[in-house]
Amino acid sequence: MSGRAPIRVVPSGRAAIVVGSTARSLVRAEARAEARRRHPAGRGWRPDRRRMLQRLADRAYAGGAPWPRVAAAIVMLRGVAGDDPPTFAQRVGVSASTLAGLEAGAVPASSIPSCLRAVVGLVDWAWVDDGTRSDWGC
Amino acid sequence: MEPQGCDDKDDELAQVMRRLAAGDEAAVVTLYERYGSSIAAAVRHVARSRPGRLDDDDVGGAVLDVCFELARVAGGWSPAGGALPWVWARHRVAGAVDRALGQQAQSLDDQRAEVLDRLAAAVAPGPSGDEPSLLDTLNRMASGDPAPRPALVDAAAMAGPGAGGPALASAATVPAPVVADAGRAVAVLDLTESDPAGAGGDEGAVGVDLLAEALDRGGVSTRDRELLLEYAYEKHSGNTAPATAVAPLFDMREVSVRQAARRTRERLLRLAASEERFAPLADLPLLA
Repeated sequence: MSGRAPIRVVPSGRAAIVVGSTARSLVRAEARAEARRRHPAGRGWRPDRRRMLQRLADRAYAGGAPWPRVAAAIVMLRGVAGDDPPTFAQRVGVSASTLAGLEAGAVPASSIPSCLRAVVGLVDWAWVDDGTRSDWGC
Repeated sequence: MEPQGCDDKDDELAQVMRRLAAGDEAAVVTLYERYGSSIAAAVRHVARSRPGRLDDDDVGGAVLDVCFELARVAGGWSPAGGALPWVWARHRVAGAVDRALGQQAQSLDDQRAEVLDRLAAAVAPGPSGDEPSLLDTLNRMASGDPAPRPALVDAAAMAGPGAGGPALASAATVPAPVVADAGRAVAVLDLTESDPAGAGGDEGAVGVDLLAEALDRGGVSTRDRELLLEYAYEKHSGNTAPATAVAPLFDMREVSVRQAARRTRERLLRLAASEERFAPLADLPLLA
């Protein structure tokens, strides 16, 4: 984990992957998102990440991904971080090709970097680990 | 001082939309996370204009649908246009809401529900599974052969308890193409029923035949016929912005849809005013 991205949980309770100079901007984005959630127009709505994960996994499965839950989890994390693939790969300390393989669901859950597994609150890793090539269906 | 406020927010949104347009699936998550509450507000706004009600779970599903729909069309959005993506793609928001609400926009009373159940039970699925257009339905109803005007019979059934018995009994003879989409056919009947009291029987048939004849006499194009029926169907279903729903069907702008529908209505009303035999058309809800 040395040199990898530290994990920070922002005041709203949502986890964010924060590192170096991007920390302030991510926290600010989080604060804005929190303000939007408090706004009357959006009151009562909260992102349903489990549902989003399932939808992403369904799409990955439909696209032929052998490990669709892995794909869903990684795409989810990168989406929450708001990064493009190169930035996210650099942030989590993996190569672009490794990240592409993870997002394509081409590798099993055991290949997920530990720094990503350290992110809690966004992805149910037990759910990801349960989704193997042979026993998972949509 | 760091840049904040609208410009910062707009840039962020534009960046998310650019990533969506480039096919970055993670951008869907970003859109959902950061703008989901705004999209939820748009969903609720549309839902308020519809009959029926969305609970929080439905809204959540619709927001997800809208996010993935926006991902599909993100390439067409430009920040220079000034509209937020979910406002720009309001048709897709409306589509997601309609899917969440279900296709049956009209509330069904027991009698209507029974008619629809009987129709569904009596009719085998068509070979193609394609949805018949309202115009096809109208034409078949007006042609009188070989189909025994089943939908008109349904109109009688829906008109009131007293008129329902024989009509329901004959509903089993409905030909498949006419009622492959029974809900829409029922709506057409409501639109074309000429007898306000809903006496049923052949009186409804006069309205349909007369309307079909008037459309021929008025020289109304096939597209405009179809458009008028779809427009009236949406309006009748409680859609307060029928042109919004109809425009994509005909690849037209909303204003053009409204103009075309008004033009056809006016043409038929002129015919009703000039020829006595067409006078009953003026009372049709379709032309209101």
